[in-house]
Amino acid sequence: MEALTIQNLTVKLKNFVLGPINLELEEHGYYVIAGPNGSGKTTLLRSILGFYRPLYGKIILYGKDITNLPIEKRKIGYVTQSYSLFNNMDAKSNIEYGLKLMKLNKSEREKRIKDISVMLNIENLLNKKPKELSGGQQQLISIARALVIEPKILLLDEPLSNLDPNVKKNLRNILKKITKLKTTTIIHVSHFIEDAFELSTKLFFMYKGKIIEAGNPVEIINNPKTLEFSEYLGYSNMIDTNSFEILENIFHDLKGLNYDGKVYAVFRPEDAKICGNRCCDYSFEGKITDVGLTSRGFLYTVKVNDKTFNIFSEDKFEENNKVYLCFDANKIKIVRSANEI
Amino acid sequence: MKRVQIFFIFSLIFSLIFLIFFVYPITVLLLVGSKGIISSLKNESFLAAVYVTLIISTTAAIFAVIFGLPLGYIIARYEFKFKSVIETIIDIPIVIPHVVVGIMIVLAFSSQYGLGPFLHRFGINVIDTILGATLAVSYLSSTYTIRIIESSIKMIDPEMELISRSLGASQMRTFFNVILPNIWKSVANGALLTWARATSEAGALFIVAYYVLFGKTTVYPSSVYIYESYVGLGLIDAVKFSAALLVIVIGIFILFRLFLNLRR
Repeated sequence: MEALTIQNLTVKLKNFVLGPINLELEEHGYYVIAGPNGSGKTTLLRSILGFYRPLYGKIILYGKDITNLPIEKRKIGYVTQSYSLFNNMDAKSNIEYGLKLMKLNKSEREKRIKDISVMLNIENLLNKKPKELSGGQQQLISIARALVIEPKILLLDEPLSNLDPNVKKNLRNILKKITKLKTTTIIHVSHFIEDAFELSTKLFFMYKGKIIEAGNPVEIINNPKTLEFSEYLGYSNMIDTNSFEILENIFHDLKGLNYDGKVYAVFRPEDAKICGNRCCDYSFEGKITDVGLTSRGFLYTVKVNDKTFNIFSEDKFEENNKVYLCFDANKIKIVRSANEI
Repeated sequence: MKRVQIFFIFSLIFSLIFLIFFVYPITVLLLVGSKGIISSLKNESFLAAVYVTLIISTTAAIFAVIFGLPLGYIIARYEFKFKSVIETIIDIPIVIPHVVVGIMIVLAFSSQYGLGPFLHRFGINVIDTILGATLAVSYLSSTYTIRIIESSIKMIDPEMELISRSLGASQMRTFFNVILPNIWKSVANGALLTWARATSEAGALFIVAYYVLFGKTTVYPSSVYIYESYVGLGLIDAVKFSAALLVIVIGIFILFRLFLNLRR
């Protein structure tokens, strides 16, 4: 069953245009929207919530057109990265807030608060004021507050961004648990590609106000189709058509790839190897122009003809060393710019 | 380290000079006028003047809160064309000489100009009335409340409002359930500043309400009363009434602040 359908949604803000966006989201799915800063992820989320009025298009929630419905009538849960707990209330009152607005009687409210508290393991936090809670605890209360009203969909706007790695892991597990219980459909805006891997049933990648890639997270992350998505995934080395002679031998011999139009070959710093001497059939001679140290080892900037590449290596080389680069053809991706698709 | 110390010492000296500048005249006034404070507080005409002043300034403060809350909210939360014009309009009363404000109020509500003829038909007159005095001091002092409300609303996470609305609360309900409980102390502080500013007003009142009709008698607002005693009776009498007014106003100011701090 379709939970949310978005048709040609276009939202115009001061210096930004979102859309047109077309989405069809299945009930109880977990959808992650990724993209660089300013790509329109939060604008899309807020448009679904009803904060922005669209210029064109429709938002249909369980068959009902909610495009012009005020926020409070949509029954959409919303969780932000800043938790946004009501400071004038304790944790329990925060959770109870929406239930009171639903005019539920006290026993029903108590039951729902108890159920959600057990599910999220927050029973011991209920009497605390927001300022007495850690970031992770506040986020749990914020999720409980949104979930307790049984929203038709739950919008999560970078809910894990401000949290420590351990807390993040714990919250991811809780989000997994919520998904397994199939209580609601979740749309999660995230900077972390791990969120898409671990949680989502479908990943959308946004760029300049549009969704330019969508699909099964494992599939699209392993096979990016656009230059913009590949850059986001860390494919920081890019070779355009003019410099393709560098790769010709590799492609023709190992992959036999055909390409037409404007395409780019991209690969990650860990997808090539640096050697002091020729160490593969088609290696390219270059010179190290910069050396950086990262948690993954040395990050070398290597100049081959007029092209510059960033390559990880555990071996030690010095600046100005002559080195040879070996590419793994299977790891090189051929992509196009989103503007040309 | 040495530079830090020099900076600190200079900061301390300059701060102390400024603080002394604030406290010194008050101290001298209270010392010189202290003997006359009790007798002033027993003086019926002076007490009537203080009473009228408190009515005017308290009404002005309430007026500033009621109308300042929506205006402060709009400025804090919305971006729109000509917003800077509205912000300038809010600040204008601060830069107009107080006597000119008095003239403006008299003119705007006189029987011959603007809304005056219409209001006069219903018996609404601002000259030498509590209404006129309240309008004059409100005009001069509401800016403080509006600005404080605006800055306190800006400090509230706008996402909080969105969340409240997503949970089913209307915008109005969100304002009263989420915004107001988080800014009420700032609102009260803003109202207190408006009240204090309104209490101390003289210039505009000289024009609009040199005296006001209060019941069947005419009463001077306290600042006019002190001016009258200075001109008519001399400095010594003006000092004792000033000291008495200062004790009342600062007393209320401090008590209100203490109350707000206790609620923290």
